[in-house]
Amino acid sequence: MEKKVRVVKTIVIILVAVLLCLIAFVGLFVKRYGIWTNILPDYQYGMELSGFRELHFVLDNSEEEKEVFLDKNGNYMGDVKETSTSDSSGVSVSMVDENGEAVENPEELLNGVTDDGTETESEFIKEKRTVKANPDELRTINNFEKTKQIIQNRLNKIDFNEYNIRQNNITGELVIELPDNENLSLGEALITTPGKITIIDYQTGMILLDDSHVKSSNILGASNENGYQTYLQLKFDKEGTNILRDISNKYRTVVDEAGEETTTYISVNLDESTLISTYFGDEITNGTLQIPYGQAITDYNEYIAFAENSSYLSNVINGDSLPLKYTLSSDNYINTSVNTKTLLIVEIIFTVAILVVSLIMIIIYRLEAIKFVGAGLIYISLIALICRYTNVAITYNALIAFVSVIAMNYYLYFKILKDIKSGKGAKEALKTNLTKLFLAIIPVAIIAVIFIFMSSIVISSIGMLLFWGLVLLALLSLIALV
Amino acid sequence: MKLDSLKKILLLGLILLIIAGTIVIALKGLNVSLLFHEHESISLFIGKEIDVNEFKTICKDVFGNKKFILRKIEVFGDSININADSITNEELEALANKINEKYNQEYKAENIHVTTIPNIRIRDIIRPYIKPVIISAALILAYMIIRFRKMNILELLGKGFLTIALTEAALLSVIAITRIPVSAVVINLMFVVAMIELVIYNYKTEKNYN
Repeated sequence: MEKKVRVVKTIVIILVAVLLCLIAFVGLFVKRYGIWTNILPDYQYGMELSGFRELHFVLDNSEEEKEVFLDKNGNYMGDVKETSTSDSSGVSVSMVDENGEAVENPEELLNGVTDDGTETESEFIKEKRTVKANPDELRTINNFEKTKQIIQNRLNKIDFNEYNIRQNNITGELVIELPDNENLSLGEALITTPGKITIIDYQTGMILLDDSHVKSSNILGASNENGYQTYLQLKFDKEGTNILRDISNKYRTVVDEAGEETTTYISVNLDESTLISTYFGDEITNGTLQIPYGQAITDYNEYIAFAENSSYLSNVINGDSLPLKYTLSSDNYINTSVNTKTLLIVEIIFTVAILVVSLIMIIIYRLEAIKFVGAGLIYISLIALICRYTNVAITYNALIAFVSVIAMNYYLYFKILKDIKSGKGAKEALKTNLTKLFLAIIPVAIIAVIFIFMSSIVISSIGMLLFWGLVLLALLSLIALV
Repeated sequence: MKLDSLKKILLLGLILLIIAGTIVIALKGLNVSLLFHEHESISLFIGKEIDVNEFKTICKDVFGNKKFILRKIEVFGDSININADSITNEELEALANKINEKYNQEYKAENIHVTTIPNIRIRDIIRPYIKPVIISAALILAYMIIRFRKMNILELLGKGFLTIALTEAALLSVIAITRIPVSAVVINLMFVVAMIELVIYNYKTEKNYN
């Protein structure tokens, strides 16, 4: 009778194990609205197994003839703007001098810059020149390498935890492989945005403050009567704080003796895009500038999504600006090389390997091994289920870790069965061998915990599989002991 | 005695293997997988679902013994990406003719754009491993110093380091000599071997310590 009960128990374990394996690897399907749907979460795959985008970037070769401001040392100080008497909203304004008196010729404010380009005692001159997006003198191997490193830093900061980057050291061309997900356009922006922030005189185009004085930037939010507003906060260093103070005193609305209001504006630009054109109400002495970014949003979730997407801006400003400018030349979606046929072959090989190991176990250790065969299948299926629910990214590295923990598990079973065959009790054999195994694999446990916290999917996927494999091994063994 | 001389022979064999591997790496370098080193690539739109095996036959006729890798591109799998060490004009013409014949296309060699794909540096593949391996190594060292405090620490750590270093060097030498293409998977396999070696060393040390 006892033998029959044991046989029934063993058969039940095997059946449960096989069922769990099917559920874990194939899924659990229920009919919903007339369609069979898998109610288990899908596996998450790494780039190589799910497909990825191959983006080709080339150096921007565009050039433009324009009038620029240069300082006495020939350094670029901004693009000369066509003298305008309108502000950004079309309202007529005029420039004022230090006494608040309107001037007809705004160039008087430029300390004596003359139209014919002759140098006076002024600080700046105007010059017409061909400005290249990437001047020849900047196209050096050092700058190519620097650009690549800055891009890598940007991608790492924005949780692009899986990418490949290739660079041609002669032409500077970049080929970047990114996961094909909702962050793709963000990735593209990080690569093509040089990230130079400047505060310019809206009226003339002269650079008043550039990013060399930016200490840090941040994305903030606040709510007002219009909804939730995102702000870009810029913090400047000591010298930048002084310059900003002077700017905030100069570029504001002034009422002249006749009672007429005149306003002078600044623009905050990121590369060639204007983030905002504005003027100051109060003096800024703390070296911090907050710029509204985007429209106010009434829906909170939409606002959170917008703020998260905007965080790339502070990421770009906080890091170094790219010395070179790139444009996207082509974009291919590369399918995974693992097709259905390859997947089937791998699954068959894996199943056959488990069957062979199980058979060897049964041949050597007879009926006692059958329970362990079932336990082994339950272990494999539980790891697979945990991968579904904990979003463990399945990469080639993760699969190697998966095979490693399974091998560890079967090694433990063989050791236990060997001890049982030599006369030890099952629980004693389990306890002794489990203790020995866990003492031996403490370094692996340390590696698993450290690797989980790494941002690279290639590394964290190894950590996750090792971690869950070891935790499950411990749990199932403890249950067996009890 | 017999065991000692066997160990000596094994050690000598290992050292010779490592020397041979070092020479091969110094002279020829490692054989990096085609997709990882600089190569040429063309992308062709076919317009219908492509059977990669069929295309492989075409490429074998065109490229002969030259190594090539095919990848389906675009969401509908109706375009193909061909990667090879180099693609000559004659090969382009032959390829265009075969594709036009098989898939009713009108490709001409001069219209097919060949792109040079730069290499992925091995240091870029290894970079994500550096920080976690250093942190893990430091913590594992600390654990072993505390756990086996009654043993000679220098001997303990020295033996462990030597065992792992020799195994990895031997493995790398085998990869270099047999010209196995180095890719991210191979690097990870080397890491797994190091982990297994560490576990075995720790197990043996535990056994001797007790």
